[in-house]
Amino acid sequence: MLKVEQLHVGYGSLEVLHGISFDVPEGAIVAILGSNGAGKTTLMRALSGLIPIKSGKIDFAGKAVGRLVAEKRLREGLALVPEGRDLFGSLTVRENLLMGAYTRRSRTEIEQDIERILERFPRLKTRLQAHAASLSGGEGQMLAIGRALMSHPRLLLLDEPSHGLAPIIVETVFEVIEQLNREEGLTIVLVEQNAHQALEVAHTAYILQSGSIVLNGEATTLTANSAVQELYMGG
Amino acid sequence: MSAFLQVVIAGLVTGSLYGLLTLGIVLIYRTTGVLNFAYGAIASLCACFMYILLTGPRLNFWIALVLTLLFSLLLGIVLERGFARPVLHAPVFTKAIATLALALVLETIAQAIWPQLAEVQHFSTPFEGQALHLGGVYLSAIDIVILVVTASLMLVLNLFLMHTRMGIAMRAMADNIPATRLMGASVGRIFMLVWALSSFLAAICGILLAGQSNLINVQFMDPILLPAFIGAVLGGLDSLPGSLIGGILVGLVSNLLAYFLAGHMLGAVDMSNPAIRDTLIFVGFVIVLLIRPQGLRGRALLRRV
Repeated sequence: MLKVEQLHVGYGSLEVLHGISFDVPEGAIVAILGSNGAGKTTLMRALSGLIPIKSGKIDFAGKAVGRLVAEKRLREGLALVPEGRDLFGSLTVRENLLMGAYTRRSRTEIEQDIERILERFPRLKTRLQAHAASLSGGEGQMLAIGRALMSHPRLLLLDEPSHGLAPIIVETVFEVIEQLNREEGLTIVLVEQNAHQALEVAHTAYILQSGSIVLNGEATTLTANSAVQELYMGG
Repeated sequence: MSAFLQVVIAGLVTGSLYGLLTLGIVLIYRTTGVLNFAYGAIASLCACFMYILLTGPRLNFWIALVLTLLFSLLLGIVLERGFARPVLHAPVFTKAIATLALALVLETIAQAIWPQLAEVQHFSTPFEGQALHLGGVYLSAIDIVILVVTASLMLVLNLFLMHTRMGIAMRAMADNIPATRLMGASVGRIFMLVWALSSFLAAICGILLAGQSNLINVQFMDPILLPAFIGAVLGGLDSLPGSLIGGILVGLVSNLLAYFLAGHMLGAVDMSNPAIRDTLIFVGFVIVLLIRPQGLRGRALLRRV
């Protein structure tokens, strides 16, 4: 569904990603693992169109989207849950969800989707009129995912969903990711520092190091790999 | 008592005009990060445009009004494309200073094409000379128009910003531009709309003010801009309701001061001098900022990336 070939991305003369290639089959969860500064967020920003690519190809559902601006890529079905969530803090939870549905027109369908998302994230139901800035980390992450789902994406990009969350909340977030994939067949690409959690839900994974992919394979194979264990899973 | 009431009403009239101006200033500032010192010049230009329509082709007042409002929308779009878009990524202060230059350019252009407006001219409206006496309180027709127009505009704007898709998107953009793009919203379109909307508000303020004093020239809005900015900063610059309250407050205080200071002397200083009143307002403003640097309602002053 998503095919990335020889992707080079950078800021000014500084190149951060040096020719990355990977493949995301429809219905899969693909994890991209790496430590701080490996280029994970840059990759997500490039995939969603927030920063331009230098060279390479991004094909999504058979269409070259590498040169499209962010708003057009969303309309193609590529939604990003950004690092640090990037909620609209002064807007209410409900307004954040409405913003997620910006590209859609039918009021009744949007209301139905809000209902569905509140069923999935009951914690948000009681906070519907609260400002997003007042949410806890876990609630915020749920809202960020819910907001992205409001656009009916075909592929969900998740940038460090465990970022800044308590371990027990991280568990919940990864359960949600697995559910979305299993129950709704949503294709998911997530980048993570938390390799342990990510490899539990992912089907395949890629290891990103200093802007290059150094290793890839089935999640179970990588979990057993001693180098991966040592580097990313704390031995 | 009725004299005092009279002053309060006059304060509300001035205040609601300031409020509308501050609203336009804050709207642009919050969404596009431009502290727009050219706002007065935009208002003047639109009011001058209307004056020309009224005196040149001698159009009917209402036709001229509609054409002027259309002109203001167009002006907003042109300014967004030609001015705001190119400096979009510049620092806040660079942009603010660029607007000072923009104000000069607009005023120079207006003066060049309409040289008669370098001098003060008479701006006439259908409301001129009409007034209402209500239990000892004197209300001129234009004051009533100002109160009605500003109140309904604020109501409509509030409904627009709180309940429509585009209004919510404008507020979202004020929070976080990249995230707004991730929602599939075209930031350029929203920017254009914000500029069109705020220059529309400026035009209305300019026309109402010219109609109130019946006087106009290319710079007639300049003295109004300072209190409007004080109102905006008092309101916290990032809060739309706050900016409105700030603007109204400045108008009220200014009129009340004029009332209480009238006829008083402090030594050899005549306290009823408007310059003394402006100085007092400014001192009060500085004191408020010392106590609450974030403004009366807002969160942080000049915080925006």
